[in-house]
Amino acid sequence: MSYYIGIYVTIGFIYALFALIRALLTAYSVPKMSTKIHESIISNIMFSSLNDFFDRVPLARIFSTLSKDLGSVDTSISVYFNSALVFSFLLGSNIVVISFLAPIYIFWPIILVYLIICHFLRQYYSKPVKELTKIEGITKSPILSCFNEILQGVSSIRCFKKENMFMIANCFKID
Amino acid sequence: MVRKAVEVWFTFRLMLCSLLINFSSLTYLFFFKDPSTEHASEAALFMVVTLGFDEIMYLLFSNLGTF
Repeated sequence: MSYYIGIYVTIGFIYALFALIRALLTAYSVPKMSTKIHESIISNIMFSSLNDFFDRVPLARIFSTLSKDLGSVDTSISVYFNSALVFSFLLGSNIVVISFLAPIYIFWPIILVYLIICHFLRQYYSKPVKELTKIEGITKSPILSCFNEILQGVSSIRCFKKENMFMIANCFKID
Repeated sequence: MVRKAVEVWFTFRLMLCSLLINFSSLTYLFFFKDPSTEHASEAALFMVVTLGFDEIMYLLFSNLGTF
């Protein structure tokens, strides 16, 4: 009886150890990642040319990158990173259990082939997902940009009585 | 909509690849594993682990894709 309880306690300790490693990795890497991305964005903005970059990129997109995108790095990325670590550990433990229960020479090649196929599939999948996220960000940005520019130049718009024109332009972008 | 289509495409391909492990594990259990009762728990654990492999891969990749 005590033999089985010992095994159970060992499994519990191993689980706790991996949970601790996961928590430490998340706590250490997420702030570091956020700081690094923020520094990279700020240095790129600061050292970009006035004529080329700031004329081409709307101000709202820069604000959106610094506020919304960095916000999502701080909040949601940590959750996804944590989940990815959980499933990586689960995958590793599954492979260990399979290698104990079945002959290694049969299942190791199958798992290896499967992981290689999955790796290429993931590479093929991550590119369009990245592009789609970028397109989503760009398509949302003109609305914010237009609204921001109208707010900044509201006195000039009222002075020339062009409220309707800008209202139609804004509604057109929202549609 | 496009994002959903890409996700469905990826899930479908991943599930097709998972058939490789699922079929090989079931073949091993049905035809090569010793059918005696002492090995029943081992066989059950093996089946649970191998059949859950595809789900773990899917969840891992969907998290990594968003990450």
